[in-house]
Amino acid sequence: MDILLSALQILATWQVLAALVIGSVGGVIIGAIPGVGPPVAIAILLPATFGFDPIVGLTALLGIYGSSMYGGAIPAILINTPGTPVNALTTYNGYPMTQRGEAVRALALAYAASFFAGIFSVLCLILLAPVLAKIAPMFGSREIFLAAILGILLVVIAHRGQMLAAGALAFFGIFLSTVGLEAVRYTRRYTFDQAWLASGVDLIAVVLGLFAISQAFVLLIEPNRRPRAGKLGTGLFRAMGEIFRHKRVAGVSAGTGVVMGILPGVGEFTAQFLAYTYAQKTSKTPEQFGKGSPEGLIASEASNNSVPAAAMVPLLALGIPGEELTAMMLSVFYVHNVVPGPGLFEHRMDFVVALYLALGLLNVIVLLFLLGSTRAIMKTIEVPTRFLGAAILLLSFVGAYSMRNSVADVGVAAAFGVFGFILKRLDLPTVPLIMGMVLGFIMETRLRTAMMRVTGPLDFIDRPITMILAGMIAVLVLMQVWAAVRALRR
Amino acid sequence: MRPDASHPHDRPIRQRGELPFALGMLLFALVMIGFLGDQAKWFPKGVKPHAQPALWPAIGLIGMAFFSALHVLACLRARRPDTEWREILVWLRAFEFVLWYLAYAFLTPWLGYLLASLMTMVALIWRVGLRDRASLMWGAAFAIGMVLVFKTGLSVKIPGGAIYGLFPEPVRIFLSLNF
Repeated sequence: MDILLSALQILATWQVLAALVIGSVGGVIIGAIPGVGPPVAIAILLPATFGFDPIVGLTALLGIYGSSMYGGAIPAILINTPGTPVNALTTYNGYPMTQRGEAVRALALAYAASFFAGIFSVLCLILLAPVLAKIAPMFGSREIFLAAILGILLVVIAHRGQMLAAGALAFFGIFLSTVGLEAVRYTRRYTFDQAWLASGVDLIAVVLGLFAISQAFVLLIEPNRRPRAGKLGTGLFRAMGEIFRHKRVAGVSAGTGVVMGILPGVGEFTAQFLAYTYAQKTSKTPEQFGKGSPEGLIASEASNNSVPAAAMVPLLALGIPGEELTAMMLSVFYVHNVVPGPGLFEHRMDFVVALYLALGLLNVIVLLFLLGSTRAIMKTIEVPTRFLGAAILLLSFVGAYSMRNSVADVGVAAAFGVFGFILKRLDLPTVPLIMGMVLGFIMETRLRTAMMRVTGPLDFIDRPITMILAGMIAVLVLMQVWAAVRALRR
Repeated sequence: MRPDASHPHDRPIRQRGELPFALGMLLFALVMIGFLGDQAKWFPKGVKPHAQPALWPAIGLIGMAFFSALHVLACLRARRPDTEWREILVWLRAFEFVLWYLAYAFLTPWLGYLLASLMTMVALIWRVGLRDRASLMWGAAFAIGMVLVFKTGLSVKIPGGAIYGLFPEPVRIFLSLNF
């Protein structure tokens, strides 16, 4: 109870509430604009939040993260174009409903499913927090080192059909994390006697390049588009009640999102795939899936909206981000000298609960905002894509330049912008590179600390958690090698 | 994640430009491995392997070379798209906008954030074909709004322009702090 009161006290300042409202409303609008998406917005805003208190900066970014998928459903349903990549599955059933003249019903179901899943996931995590507080201290350097390896492995494996490129990019990220002055013996690594490389390759510059500048290039180079959103009827709030007829699908989908969100590197796509498959298999009308099924729409929206809260678990409990957005948030912690990990759960449980409550609150803010302003948001869908590209390019400059007023950082961001553009053209993932950079640093420092107390080769895995993690890593590697050998024989 | 691809080893046709990309990654990794002895220290005595500064760059580069080599082989095994190298021309088109971006970065310390943003935004949307009056006006409004939010409102660290020095002291300070 004391923790809850303390958490409420942390939240009850005008700065935090303003950050939450601006982040939530901004996230919905950003999510609704096809071609922008939360990674671009978070990459741009990240350096601007460094001047705030950690809780203020994090709630603003959480607001964008947690609310963008609500907004992303609007163009997915109305014009068959997902606002964010995770809303792609929403188009399968949302757009056919719009074509049948049921746009209001589809939007209402999407909002209701997202709201239910958002609140469900926050409640799960608040209930889970005491358990996590007991487990987290069991994670020492060895466990975190192995968990980081598992995280990289899962990120690579999650990119089926692109595993080789994902592996190369993850190791490229690990290499990038080592550039600069090494912290223990103060030797320079891959600086080529360039002073600007001594402090390393800045993660924020890389993030800005890979996510924001590359997207600006895509939008500026591809033909200009100006989608038309059409008109919308009334009765949005009343139509939301239909969610109660699909409680089972909504509950299972939200639960799937929570479990998948906790696992590093898995995230929304796998959650959606599992939830959608479940919904289709148990439906009385499976033939309607892909043709405007309310259950399909609920499965896709509920599963993706329960992920953001769950994805905060590995970040807060172990200091290990599960995907690109939590990796970006990690830098906010680092800038403010707040080290996420077991210590945070042990000593700052109120801070953790405050973040969860903020996530819950943002769902209420977003729902109220959407009920009142969906028609206005529809206008943002109609911004010409090349205008958006120019706007993103200019906004990216703020983030890259304001960190150190260094043209070198702007150059690094531009170089990674071109690299990210090539990856997007090739339909290759950017996430493994970011994860490699973040987890590479964690692995190096944790291995050094862990090895201080290790004398024999088996000492490393003589604790229950290390044994489980090492076993999981070995099984996953063997499964992939076996699959590769079988494929080569075919 | 590509939803249609089932496994790296049974892709029927590779993405246009994927082979040059994989070759580029492999070449980069190999060149950097060539610099390993020179650019990262491996102490001969008294330092355990896990504490060697060169260990993690080596892991990163060797892993990158290994996966890139496999990627190259997988590309060579897959059916070749007809217009493989034309994709590189599209990649090169991005460099025009890199120049725009860098020009904006060089202009800002001279002209100040507001003027540099205004000029770049309007010129850029003109360049990409949005030449009607409404688009140009919206572009200018966006640039002003962006400066008001980030520099005036959030006080992000962007130095005042050199041309502000032409103004009297109080105006110079006001411009430097807000625009």
